[in-house]
Amino acid sequence: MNNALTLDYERVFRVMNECGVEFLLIGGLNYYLQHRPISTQDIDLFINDNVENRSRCEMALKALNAQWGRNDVDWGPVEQKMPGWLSYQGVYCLLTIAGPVDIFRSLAGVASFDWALVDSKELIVGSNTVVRLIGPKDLLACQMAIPETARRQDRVKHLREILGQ
Amino acid sequence: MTKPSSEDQQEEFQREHEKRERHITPEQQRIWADGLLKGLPDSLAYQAACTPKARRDEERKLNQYLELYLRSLQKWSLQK
Repeated sequence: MNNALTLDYERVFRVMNECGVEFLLIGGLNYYLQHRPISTQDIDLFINDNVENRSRCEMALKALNAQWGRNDVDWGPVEQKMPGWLSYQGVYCLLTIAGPVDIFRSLAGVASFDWALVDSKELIVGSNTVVRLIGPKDLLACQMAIPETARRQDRVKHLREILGQ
Repeated sequence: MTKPSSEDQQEEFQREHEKRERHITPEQQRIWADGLLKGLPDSLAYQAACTPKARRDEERKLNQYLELYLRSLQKWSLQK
């Protein structure tokens, strides 16, 4: 495995694990680690959307010195936000000390977190850090759920090949 | 939370991305763009093996990275 990326994804996974966050890796980094080497810009995480897990995720993001805001004026360290801020909206794009991180509370094309968990796969990266990756079927479902113009046709083609479709 | 439609989620994602872009500092941008450039050999190897459409998509993305990198270098040197 050629790990040419400098996003410190291992640190993000480690902190998430230490805080007990239930999450699945989705998006380009999932594809990079599981399928083909591509350039990716951020770390996309699908979290189990319940009060306890969101609270653990808020702790983890605080530990990663994350910054976010509901708008430009409100933008700042998440440690200054009221607890429960992860319940404000469905998708969050944050800046952290380990790189840009996107948090998804739900995922278009995927019925639920528990559903995606069934087909997910565990991977060990770096120095023994465990991460669960959403499976290729759900990765394809995510691609197919987004508008065609935003879809990554190369990934769609490759994932279909893997799945024998 | 009510599950949003794929269009709504895509729009929300786009808005969030743009908001984050506005808050990336030149230093963060430089480090980030550096990292992206280090990923280039992988990306180029991948291009060689993929379809023309995918290759065009990847080339467009690489050009965006290069522009980002040059812009961040300019901002970085102005700050120094």
